[in-house]
Amino acid sequence: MSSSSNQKPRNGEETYVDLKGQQWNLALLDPEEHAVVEQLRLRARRNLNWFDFDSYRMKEIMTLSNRRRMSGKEIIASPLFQIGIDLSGRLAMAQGYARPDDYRDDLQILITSQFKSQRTFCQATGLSETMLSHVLAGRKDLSIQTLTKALGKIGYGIRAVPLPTLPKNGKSRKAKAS
Amino acid sequence: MVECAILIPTLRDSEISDGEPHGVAAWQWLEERILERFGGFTIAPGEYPGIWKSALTSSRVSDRSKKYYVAIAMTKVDELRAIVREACVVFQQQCLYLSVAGHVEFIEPKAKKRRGNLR
Repeated sequence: MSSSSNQKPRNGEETYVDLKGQQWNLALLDPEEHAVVEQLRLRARRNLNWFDFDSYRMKEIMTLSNRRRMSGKEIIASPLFQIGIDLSGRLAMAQGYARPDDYRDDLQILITSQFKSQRTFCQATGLSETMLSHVLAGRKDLSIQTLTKALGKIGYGIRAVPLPTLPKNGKSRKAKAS
Repeated sequence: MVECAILIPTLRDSEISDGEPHGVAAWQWLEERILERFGGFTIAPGEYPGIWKSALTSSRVSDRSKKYYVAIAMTKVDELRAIVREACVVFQQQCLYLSVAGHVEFIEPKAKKRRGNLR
């Protein structure tokens, strides 16, 4: 788990900073939410197997959310879910089951959530479909200039963000066909 | 209500993509998509090792998957299939395993119809 996930702000209250840099004030959590977050952080610190951590995470979050009759959108917006999935992401990276996001991930999520297809995205941005497929599959890269110009056409931009700090024993996995 | 299960391999397909682990945003996208549409899900403990034959090259490919459970009305199964279809693209897979009340389907990504630019 990254040391940047646990910082003390000036007012002395504990704040959780997620991988996107968003700060979550833990003092605003009620006792039940606080207890769940503490249990999740404890299991993350112990480097619990990622699959088992996630099973525990969603069991706890859904139990509390169901008791409070929260909608799916309310669950997504809750600090509990957001901190939980952030801890999951850090654990997955530390155990080699995930990697830090790069611009390809941002592009893919943007296309899937905002556009009907890769084709409509390409029409809107001026990128070629073939080039985009290669980029999303990790075979080619876009220059910063091309990316800036393309994203500017749909009202988006690029920015520099801090990389997550991972333990030195982070593993790397890659698929191999036999 | 029917119980549905989705298996998501932990690596991108090495034949149509780079075989690398997914970015953390892909997992967050999937969970938020299911929550938004169906209000909840659970994750099975443990990992699900599997081996299958690629339709593209006939190579045997092995990986470990994460298993998601969603309980939904039978009338909403098509909505789940649509999410799994999108997940094929986000997770860079040739197809994904979906089980609906014990009946297994392999969902492939499908080009969406052109209808304007933005959703």
